[in-house]
Amino acid sequence: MRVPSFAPHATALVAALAWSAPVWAQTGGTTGTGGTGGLTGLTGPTLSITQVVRLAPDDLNGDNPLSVDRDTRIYWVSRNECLANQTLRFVFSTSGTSIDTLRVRADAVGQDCSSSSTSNQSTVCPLIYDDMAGTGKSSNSYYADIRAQDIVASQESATYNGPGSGTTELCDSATGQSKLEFTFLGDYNGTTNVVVAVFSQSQADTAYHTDGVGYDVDGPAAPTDVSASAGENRLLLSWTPANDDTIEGYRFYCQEVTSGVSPLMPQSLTGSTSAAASLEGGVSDAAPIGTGGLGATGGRGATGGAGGSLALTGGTGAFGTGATAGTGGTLTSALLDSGVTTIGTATDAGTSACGPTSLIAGQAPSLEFEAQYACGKITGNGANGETNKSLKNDVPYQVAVAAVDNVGNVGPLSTVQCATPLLVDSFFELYKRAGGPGGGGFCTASPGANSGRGLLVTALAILAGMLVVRRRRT
Amino acid sequence: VTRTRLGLVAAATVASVTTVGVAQAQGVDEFGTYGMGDSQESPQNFALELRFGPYTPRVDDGVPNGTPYKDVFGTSNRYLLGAELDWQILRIPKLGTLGPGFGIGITWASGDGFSQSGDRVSQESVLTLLPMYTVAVFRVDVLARDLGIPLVPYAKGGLGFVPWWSSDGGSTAYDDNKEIVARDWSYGYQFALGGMLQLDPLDPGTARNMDADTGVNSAYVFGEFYYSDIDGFGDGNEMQVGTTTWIVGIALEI
Repeated sequence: MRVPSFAPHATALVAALAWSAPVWAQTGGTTGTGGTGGLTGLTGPTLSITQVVRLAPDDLNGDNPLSVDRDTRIYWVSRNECLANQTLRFVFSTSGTSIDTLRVRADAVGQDCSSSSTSNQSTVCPLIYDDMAGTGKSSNSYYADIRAQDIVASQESATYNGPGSGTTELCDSATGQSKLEFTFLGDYNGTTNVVVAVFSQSQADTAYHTDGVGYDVDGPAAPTDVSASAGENRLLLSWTPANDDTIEGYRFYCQEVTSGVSPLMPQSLTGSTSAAASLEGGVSDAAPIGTGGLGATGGRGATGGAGGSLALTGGTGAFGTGATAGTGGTLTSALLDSGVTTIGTATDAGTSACGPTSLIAGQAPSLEFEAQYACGKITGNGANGETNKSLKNDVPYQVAVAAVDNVGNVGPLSTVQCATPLLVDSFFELYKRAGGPGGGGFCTASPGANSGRGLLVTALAILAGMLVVRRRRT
Repeated sequence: VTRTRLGLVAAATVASVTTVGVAQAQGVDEFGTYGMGDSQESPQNFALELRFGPYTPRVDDGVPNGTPYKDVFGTSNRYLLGAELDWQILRIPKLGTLGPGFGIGITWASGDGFSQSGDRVSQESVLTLLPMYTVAVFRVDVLARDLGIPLVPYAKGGLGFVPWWSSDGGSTAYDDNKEIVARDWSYGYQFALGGMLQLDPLDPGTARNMDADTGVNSAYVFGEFYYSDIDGFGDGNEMQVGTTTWIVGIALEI
C-alpha cells in the first residue's frame, strides 16, 4: 500500500471500484468498499495523495463470472481474454470534487508510477489507458475500460506503444504471468498526474488483502501418456495427469482424418516431415532454402523449418521440408518479382501418426481452433474422460488433450492419438435385443401392462393406513 | 443414531473379543427391568441394521433370448450395502416383537461393451440397483430376554421395489432405436430368515453404560438368508432384479 505523501484533508474521495466488463458479459458488477485513509483534500495544486482502493471480498464471486484467485484476491487476465480483446472496466466515483481526465499506468507491484513520464513508450509504468477527453466521466463518476491486450502487451512486449497497441499476436507470443499495480492518474485544478488511486495487491496490506490484477497467459503443461480408444460416437481417452495444483480440467480436441488440415494453430508449429508445400503460382526451378520453409499463399502443406528469406530472382523456389514449421519469412523484392505476394505464416499444419493434422502437439489452441476442434472436456485433474458423442462412427479421428488451469488458460496439446469410433453394444442394448422387459423411465405406466404397480401402491397405502391406526390406538 | 452411539457400539464389539463376561439376559418388559442389577433399561422401540452381502440380480431369468447380464458383467459377485430401520410397534409377551421395517441399499455392476465383431470395447456399461423394501419383521427375543440365550431368530416378509438405471459410457443408455431409456423400477416380494447374536452378554457393564448414555438397548451381529423376486409379480413387464443371497451386518435396538 502506498503511503499518502500529504496529510489527509477534509473532503473525502470515496473511491469505489467495480468490475464492469461488457465484453465479459457482466452486468455492471458490484461496488466495492472504499479504501482506508481516504483520498482527501483535493484542494491544492500540489496535492499528491495515493489511495489504495479495495474491492470488498464478495465483489468478485457470486454471480460475477470473473474467476479470481481467492487466496491472493487477484483477478488474473487469461490468455483467452487477451486473445478475445476483452475489456476490464474499472468504475469509481469521487465526492466533493472531481478530476478532469484519467490515465492509468501499470507495472509490477511496488513500482512507483506516480511520477513517471507521460510518454506512452515508457518501459516503466507504461500507459494502458488514456481518457484525456473525459469520455469515462459522468459528474463525479468515472470508468476506465482497459483492454486485456494492453495489460498483457504493456508488460510483455518491447514494442508496446500505448493504449490500443496491444494485439492478438502479442497475446499469443506472451508466456508470462505477473501481479500488477494500476495507478490511476488525473488532472485536477491545473495539476497534472495527480494520483487518484492505486489498484494493487500489496503484500504490505495484509490486513485487508487488497485485491489486484495480474495477467497469466501461460497454460499448464500438456498431459503425457495420452491414449485413445474407440467408443460409440465418441473416443475414450486416458492420460497421466500432471502434478500441478492449478489444473482445473482437461479439454479434448478432435479432427477427422479425412477432413484435411486447417491452419488454425498459432505461432510456429512442430510437426514431422511432410510433403512439400504447395505454392500458388507453381514451383519451378528447385532452389532449396536450406531446411527452412515458407508457406506461400494457399500453401500449407509444408511443416517446414525455420523461416527464412527466399532470395531468388525471377523464379520460385522449392520449399524445404523440415521437422519444424517456420515462423514466416520475409517477403523480399525477389519474391515479389517471382509473383509471390504473400508469405505464409506459421499456421501450417503438421502431421500425426495418422496423417496430416491441425492438432499440433505442444501448441496452445487459438480461439478459432477451440471453436472448430473442441470435442469434450472434464473438470478436475482426472486421468481419463471421453469426448462428446458427436463423432461419426467408422471415421478415423485424431485427438489430443490439453490441461486447463484455474485462470482458464488452455495449455499446449498433448501428442496426437488416432482412433475410430464404432458401434458399441451396451448392456441395455443387448438386454432389450434379447427381449428383456422394462425400461422407459421411472414414470412409465400403462394400463394393463403395469397394473401390478397399482396393486403395489395400494398395498403400500393399506400398510401405511394400518400403521396410522395402530399409532392412534396406542 | 449418533456418531457417539456408533463409536460406543464399536468399542463394545471390540471389547467383547477380549473380555468375555457371563452370559446374562437383560432388558425390560411389562414387569420392569431385569438382568441389569439396579439400573434401568431405556425404552426400546426401533431396530437399526447396517447390511452387507453379495447381490447378483437374476436379470437373465427374465430375458427370453440370451444372457445379456452375464455376457456384459460376468459372473463375479457384486455386493450390496444397505440399511434397515424397523419399528417394533408390537410386543408379544413371552415371544418377541412385530412391526414394519423399511430398508434401502445400493449395488451396481459394470462391464465393457462389445463391438459388432464381438470384441470387448472399453466403453463401460453400468447397471445400478437401489433395492428398497417394506417388510413385516418378527423377532423372537424370548430366548435372550427370558432364557439367557443370546440369540434372536427372526423372519421378514414384504414388498420390494427396486429403482434401476443403466449407463453407457458417461451417459444414460438407450435401446438400439434410442427410444427406450435404461431407467425404470421393478417390484415384487421378498422374505428373509435369520438370526441375531446378542453382544451385550460379552460385556454387560459396557452394554449397560451404552444404554444409559446413548439409549442403545442391545447390539447384535446378524446373518440372514434373503430371497427376493422382483419382476412385477411375473407380469412380464419388469426387469427381474431379485436375488437369492445371504446378508450379514450389525444391528442395534434402540
